[in-house]
Amino acid sequence: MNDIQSWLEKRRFHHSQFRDLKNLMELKEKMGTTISLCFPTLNEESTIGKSIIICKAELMDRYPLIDEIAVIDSGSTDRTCEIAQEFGAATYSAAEHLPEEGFYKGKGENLWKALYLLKGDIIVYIDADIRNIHHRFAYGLIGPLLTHSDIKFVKAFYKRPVVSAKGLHASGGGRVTEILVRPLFSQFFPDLAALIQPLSGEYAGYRSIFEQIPFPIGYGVETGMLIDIFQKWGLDIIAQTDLDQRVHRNQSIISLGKMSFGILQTFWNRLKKYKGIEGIDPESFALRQIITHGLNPPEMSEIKIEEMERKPIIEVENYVKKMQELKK
Amino acid sequence: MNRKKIEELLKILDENKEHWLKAINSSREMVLSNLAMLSQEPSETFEEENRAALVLERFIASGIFEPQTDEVSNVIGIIPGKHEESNILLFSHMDHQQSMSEIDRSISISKDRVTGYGVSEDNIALSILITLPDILQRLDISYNSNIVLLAASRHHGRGDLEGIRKYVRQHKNKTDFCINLVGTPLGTVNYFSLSRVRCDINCTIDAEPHNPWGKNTNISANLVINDIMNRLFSIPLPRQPKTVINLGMITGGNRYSTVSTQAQIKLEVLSENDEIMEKVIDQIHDGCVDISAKYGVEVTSDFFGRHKAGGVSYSHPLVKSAVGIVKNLGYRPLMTYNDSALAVPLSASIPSIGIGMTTGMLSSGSKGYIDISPMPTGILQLIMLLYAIDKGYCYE
Repeated sequence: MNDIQSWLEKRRFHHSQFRDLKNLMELKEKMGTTISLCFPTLNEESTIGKSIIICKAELMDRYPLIDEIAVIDSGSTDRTCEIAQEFGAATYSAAEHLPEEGFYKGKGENLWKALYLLKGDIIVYIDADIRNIHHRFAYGLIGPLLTHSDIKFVKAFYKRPVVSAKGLHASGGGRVTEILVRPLFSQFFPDLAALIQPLSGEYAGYRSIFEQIPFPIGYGVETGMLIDIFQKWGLDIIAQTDLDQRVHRNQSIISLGKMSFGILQTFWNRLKKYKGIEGIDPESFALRQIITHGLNPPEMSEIKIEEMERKPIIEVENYVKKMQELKK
Repeated sequence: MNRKKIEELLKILDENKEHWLKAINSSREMVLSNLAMLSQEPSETFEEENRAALVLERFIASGIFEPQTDEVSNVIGIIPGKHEESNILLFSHMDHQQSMSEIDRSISISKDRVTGYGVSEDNIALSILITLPDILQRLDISYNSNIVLLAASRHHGRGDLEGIRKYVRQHKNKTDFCINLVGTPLGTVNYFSLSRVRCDINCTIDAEPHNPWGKNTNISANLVINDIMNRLFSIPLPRQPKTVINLGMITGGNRYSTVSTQAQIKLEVLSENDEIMEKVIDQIHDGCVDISAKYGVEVTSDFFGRHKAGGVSYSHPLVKSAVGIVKNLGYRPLMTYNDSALAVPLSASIPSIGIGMTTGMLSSGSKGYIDISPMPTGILQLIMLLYAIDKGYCYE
């Protein structure tokens, strides 16, 4: 517990510690590092424009801290890609790249393919649905990586008010975290229970870390990534940054049920891999949920959610080739 | 200003137009980024501190020398001129009326439009104001005059333009020209202001009236307010000089089943003539006292937001230059009065003008929007107008 306490103190930052962007820029230049920012998207037309504009204006035009901004899209049917291109982001359809590896639809797939498509030594992943986007979401995550040579992966945490028809409301935030993930971590990976928001969709890390771990393609990507990094390199390379507040749309219990179903599959896989626990393969990948409509009798819905995983991208031949070419 | 002089000015501007527009286009993301960040920072009238801090931070990031705030949360930054002999004040307000804690203040940026609360009124203008130092740097323009940037506080409602009033009170002798940036529409050329006053009329009835006349008569505050409205309608208003009373808001009562004990009218009076305005104020006040006595209830009339009629004439070179520039950029000049902030420098006899930054739709809610593509033209208009003033084309 003492170790965890000391980790919490040593590895917890606030974005304001890194607001001197000139200093970060100088550090980056000295290190000879390049930084890429990735927005994974699927139908995010109402927020993607603002996200790109703010990050580009502040972190590329005003202070050239970031070398490229890219949108990796899972097949949006709205104007997400058009808007992203208009404001200067490189826009990629995940399905069109590394075709020999096939295509799965999911955020994890976009993050994994981003490793192939982007050039940076540091990759910053930011969800594209943040309503109160600010460039602190990027520099708050980049800061610890540039200022502490032993930190290789940084997770975001924040307050999470939710938006409803009546406006903004305070929220405990992270129902899946508190009901599912933290209790599971407490039982099987107790050190990881110290992560304030293990499911936050904003994180940054060195390519050298990301390329060596598998990527669940769906809901389990954050959980799997955390456990794998922890198991391979330990807690000390992980840090977390307070980004103050992130406004998001509240999700229904039904949606959170789907998310939990995916996370559990990733979790069982990690238990098998790292704890040698056998016999926990799911009997079914069909999530059954009870839906009620007003006074009508409850109905059972069934949806298939199978959490596929991508192997570490370092094992993909075309990736290795491309990286070698980039180094030349 | 004669036609020849205007032609000479527009010819110079034409020569630079393409090059300037190119540089302005390259700062589009910066303007929109500032707009998004301003919009996310709540700034209700009298509570502008957070937005003021953001504006200050932006001024510092742009390299403005010693930007400052004052006790009413105005933020002031100066772009020093080469000669520093004259000062051009550029201002836009920072505050909004609605409480932002109850609404989602997030704006949305699409390919051609920015939509959301406060965007068109007037966050886009404030955003351009705070991006101006960066824009001028990209344009590689430096003026002879000092450009004073003022993000003014306490504009709306009971704020009663206190931010700009305070600045003008302190600096009127050092301000040679003033430009008020408003969000929309592009083409706006405001150059005179009307005599204006705002008034809150409140009717309050004690639940247990002690006055024998009012006792047990179940007088409704709504009824009293109705009588006051009839009295307001009976005030004779001349066609010339034009004078109007606008009943902006009426509220009253609590429930279907109870007699209303409280009701309110919020109104505005506009006139071309200050003397007539004084008479109308007296008539409203007297009418309220009269009705208060008649019903035996409390009726108060609280006048505020008073400013006098003023302005420059169309023949002023500042107005002619502004109109010429708007036409040169392919827009129709929308010449009208301004009943708000511009009245303050105008009544201090500072040649002043209000200009719009882009096209779009005004809305008090979250449906207001601005169009992105005309915005660079709006900025170009400002750059041209600053050039005209700086080079002496706007002096009488």
